[in-house]
This record gives sequence, structure tokens and C-alpha cells, in this order.
Amino acid sequence: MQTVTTPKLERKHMSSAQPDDPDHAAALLALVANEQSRQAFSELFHYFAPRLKAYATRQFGNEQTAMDLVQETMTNVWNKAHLFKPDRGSASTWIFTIARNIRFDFLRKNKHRQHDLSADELWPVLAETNDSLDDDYALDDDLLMQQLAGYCESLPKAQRTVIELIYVEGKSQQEVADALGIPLGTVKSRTRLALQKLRELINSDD
Amino acid sequence: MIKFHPSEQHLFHYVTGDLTPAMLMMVGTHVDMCPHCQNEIQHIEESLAQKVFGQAQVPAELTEQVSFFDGESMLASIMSQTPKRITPVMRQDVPNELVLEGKRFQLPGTLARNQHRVGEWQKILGQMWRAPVHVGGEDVLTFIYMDKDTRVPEHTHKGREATLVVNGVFNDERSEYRDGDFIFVDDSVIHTPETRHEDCLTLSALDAPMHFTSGLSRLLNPFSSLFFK
Amino acid sequence: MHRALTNIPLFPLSGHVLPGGVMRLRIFEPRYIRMVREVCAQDDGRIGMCMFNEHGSIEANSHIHPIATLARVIDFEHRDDGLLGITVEGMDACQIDAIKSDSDGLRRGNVRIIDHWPPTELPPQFQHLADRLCQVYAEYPELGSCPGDDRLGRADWICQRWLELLPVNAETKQELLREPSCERTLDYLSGLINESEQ
Repeated sequence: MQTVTTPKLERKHMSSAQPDDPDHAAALLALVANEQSRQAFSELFHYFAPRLKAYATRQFGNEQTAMDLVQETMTNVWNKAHLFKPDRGSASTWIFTIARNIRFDFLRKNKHRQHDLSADELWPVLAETNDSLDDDYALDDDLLMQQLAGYCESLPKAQRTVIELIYVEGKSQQEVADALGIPLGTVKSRTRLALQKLRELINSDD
Repeated sequence: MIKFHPSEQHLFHYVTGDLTPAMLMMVGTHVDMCPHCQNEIQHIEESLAQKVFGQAQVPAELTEQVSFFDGESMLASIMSQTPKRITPVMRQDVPNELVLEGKRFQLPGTLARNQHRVGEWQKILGQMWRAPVHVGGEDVLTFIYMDKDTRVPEHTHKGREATLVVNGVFNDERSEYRDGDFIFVDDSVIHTPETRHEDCLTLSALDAPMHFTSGLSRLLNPFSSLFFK
Repeated sequence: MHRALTNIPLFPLSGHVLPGGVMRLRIFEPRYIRMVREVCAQDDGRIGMCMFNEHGSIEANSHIHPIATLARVIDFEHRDDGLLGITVEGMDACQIDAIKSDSDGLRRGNVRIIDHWPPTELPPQFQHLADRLCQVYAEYPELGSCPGDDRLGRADWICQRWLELLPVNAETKQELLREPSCERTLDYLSGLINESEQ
């Protein structure tokens, strides 16, 4: 087994843990998301950018396109770190899916065909909303995190289970239906009722 | 419970984005509906990410390349931007419902996000309706709706046909297919899909016209070589 | 003399009905329920059954092809799925212009009735068009029963039925319908049928 020397570039801001440690990478993303930490981002960049470049060079066989992919991917990491959901997969998987989307669009960009699919429509990695939820029961994330937990206690058990699975564990309504062995329509009506109740509770506290 | 899934290869190439547009839509929609394949997808994504980013996988030549990799200026230019902190948008204006002949169908995420690509519904003789889904590429992606007690005339395939049940049940000589089932047949198969007591909405990808065994069906069917596309 | 009618409600569809043909429809959109109510309140109510143009723009009302069929409602049903079902019968060929939209999206247009294909006897070399058509009626009960009368001996009637049935794009149909007689359609259909039987 051969160990590969870590490029010097990567060492600059290195703490004891490496970004290939999933927890550490997730923590760095959280720092970028919450504090726009330049140091955390630099550390991510120094780890991921050269590897992305190697990947993109293999994919495109063209240095300039490869650099464009690195730049666009890492710009998204900087701007959209708040969209990373640690419970859905590792930081490196998230960054890989961003790069995959950019590659997909790059490959189609020059063809100018009328109906071509876009990566976001296939894999909504960077969508701002949780698309598994219908609009009328999407709630603001912050509101949720701060207040939901307390209020959930006062919901009927069936509704509480559904709410927890969707908003705390991040499952889709279909997954909840499968997990509980109940129809999707029931999940939807329970969600609607529960959110109605929660809104009342939250408002009455104001 | 979903019984029929895309192959491992389909899933792998879905993750890398290297299927035809029509097949990406088909596999993506199946994955939306199938917790088992969602799991598979996650594993494939993880292993590909590991391959690209894993510590042990950094190519040796990269060390020499580092001097050509103008990382610092790129890093500086990225961080000179103020991250766009859009507060999560609450509403998403994507309709996730398909209305057909007065019936309403919930669409899985992939289809809901691409609903603007669905063309006009057209009635086919024999209580069937179809609508093209414009996704580019050579394959033809089509919604097909069969009323109950409806039969597609017997046909073979010159190419390959993938079918996904979006809602309902249909049968052919070999099995019964329900919500989420993904069926892939090649030119060796002759079959006669039909519905019985329930109607059925499917999504289908064809890379060549169907070959209908009867001349009359060939004449009346938009999927025959006379009218394909 | 060409008769002109104004303010006729239009129903653009991907399925087509021509003069002499009947078509069963499910009505579920509010604008079309309103249309049916309006047409049925008149003595001589007509609907403009139009061909949907998928290359046209709905905003610019160019999604409606100009050659259409004036139709009357001949039957109603309350369907098991709770929807309103109607049957319309194609009366006259017409040309549509000056399309405008009501607030609920119902289109209306001015309509000029045009002389359509004159009744023509079916030439013997095209007899197979009539035979095949009877076969289609036998195979698809949803079309109703095959007429037993002299219509099966009329080239214009047979051509119209085939054009309704075939999944040919609307542009081709428009072109054929612009012809003064059904002669070109006979050749076209005959070619398609030959091709399908190979």
C-alpha cells in the first residue's frame, strides 16, 4: 500500500483533524454556513479543490473547463453551505453531487438544444426549499428548530410522529407513509392538521 | 411494495448523469418513489465521492501539478463574494399535480420539477391517452394513461422500452406491476400490457418504435414506425 | 355566399372531429362547463372544435389552427367518475379568425363557414379504405357502430373519418383539409395503409 504525499498547499491551515474526516468536514461547513468563516472555507478548499481538479481533468480532458468546474463547485460551497444537511450524507458526498450537477450542465451547455434537462431539475442538491413538502405545509426552518420541539409535546401522538419524521429526521412524506405503513394521503392530512395546530400554538404564545 | 427496480448499472449511471435524458427521468422518478433505491443511490454517491475525494486516491502527479494550480487566487476570488444568505423560501411554486381528463395525480419530485416539459394530452384509440415529455435527446419519453379494462395491442420492440408505473396497476403476460415498479424490456420480448379493474398512469421511454403485430394497430398507433415521435 | 358567425366559443383539442363525425368528451374545466351551458341555452348553439397547435403560443392565441369544425351538442351523460360527458357532432367546416380570450380562459373567435369537400363517390380502387374503416369500427366499440348506409360509399365521408382517427399531426390534416376536394387525402390515406400492411 502506497501512501501519497499530501500536497503542501493543503497543510497551511490544518488543524489536527483532516477534512477527509466526515465530522470535521461537516463542522467546517457549519462554520462557513453560520459565520462565513474564511479559515474553515480555506481548509475545505485546500482539501477539495485539487481533488476536484483531478476529477474534472479526467472528465473533460481540458484544463480550463476543469478549472471552471472547480471554481463553480467551490463557489457554491461558499455560498450555499447552509443547504448542507449532515443527516442526509457526508460533506464530501454533498460536494461531489454539486460537482456532478455542474459537470452535467457543462456537458450540455454548448449544444444549445431546445429541451435539454438541467441538473437542478434532476437532482435538486442546491434547492432552497425542502421539495418533498407541499407548499402549504412548508415552514420556515428557523422557526421550526427553535420552537417545534416544545410545541410538539402537545400534539396528538399520531400527528407528532409524522411531524418528527418529516421535520426532525428530514424524511419525505412518501418515506413516512412507507415507514408507518399508512397511505400518503393520511400522512398529508396529519401533517396539515399538525401544522395548523402548531401555528395556533405558536401564535397564541406571541 | 415495489418489486421491479432499475439495474445497478442504471442506478450508477443515474448518479453520474450518464444516461439518456429520458432514462434519467425514468430512473429519477423511480428513485423518488422507492426507499430501497434511494438507499442504493446514497451508497453509490458515497463511494464515488470517496473515489474522488478519498485521501488515498489523490493522484501522485497532483503534487507536481500544484504549482500550476492557481488555488490561492481562486480561493481569494471566491471569498471576496459575500455569501448569498437567502432565508429559506417557504413557498415553492412547483405544481406537483397532474390533471388528466378530470382526474388528479400526485407527481413524484422529478416529474413535478419537470412538469413544464409535459406536452398536450392526446387520445389514442382504445381508451388510452398519451402526452410527450420534452427532455431532449434521441429517446422518446411519454406519459401513457390507460383507462381500466384497456389493452395495448400486441407488439415487439425494435429497441428498448422502459416503463414506470406512476399510479395504478397494469399486467402483462409475465406479471402485475404497481406504483413505482420499473420494467425494462428489449427486442426479445413480445407482450400485451393491459389494465383490469383499475386505471394506470405510466411513464415510458422508447428508443425505437414499437412493432405492432397487426397492421391495423400499426396504422392507428402513434408509437408505430409510421408516426413514431 | 359564405355565412359568418361571431363570438363562437372555441374548444382546442389534440383529438379532432370533422363534419359528419361525432366525438365524446369529458368536460371538467370550469370554462368549458360554462361553454356547454351557454351553447345549450341557445336554439342553434355551436362550438368551434379546433385543432390544438403544439408549436403555437397560448398567450398569443396561435395555439389554435385556423381550419376547424362547427359542432353542436347532441347528447349528455353523467359519467361514473362524476364528470359531465357530452357528445358533439361536426356540422360545418370553418375558418377561424380574431381569437380573443374570456377572463376564465375560454377562447372565442369569428367564424366563416367554408365550402367543404363536395360529396364524392368512392372510386373502386379505394374500396379498401372503406373495408379497413369497417374493421376499425368493429375493433373499437367506443367509436359506435359502423354506419350501414350509403356513407360508406362516399369518399369525402370516409376520408374525414380516417383523418379523425389517425395520429397524424395537425399540420398535415390542416393542409389536406384546405384542398377543394378529398382527392389528395384519398392518395395520402391509401399510401399510409399500404405502408402499415408491409
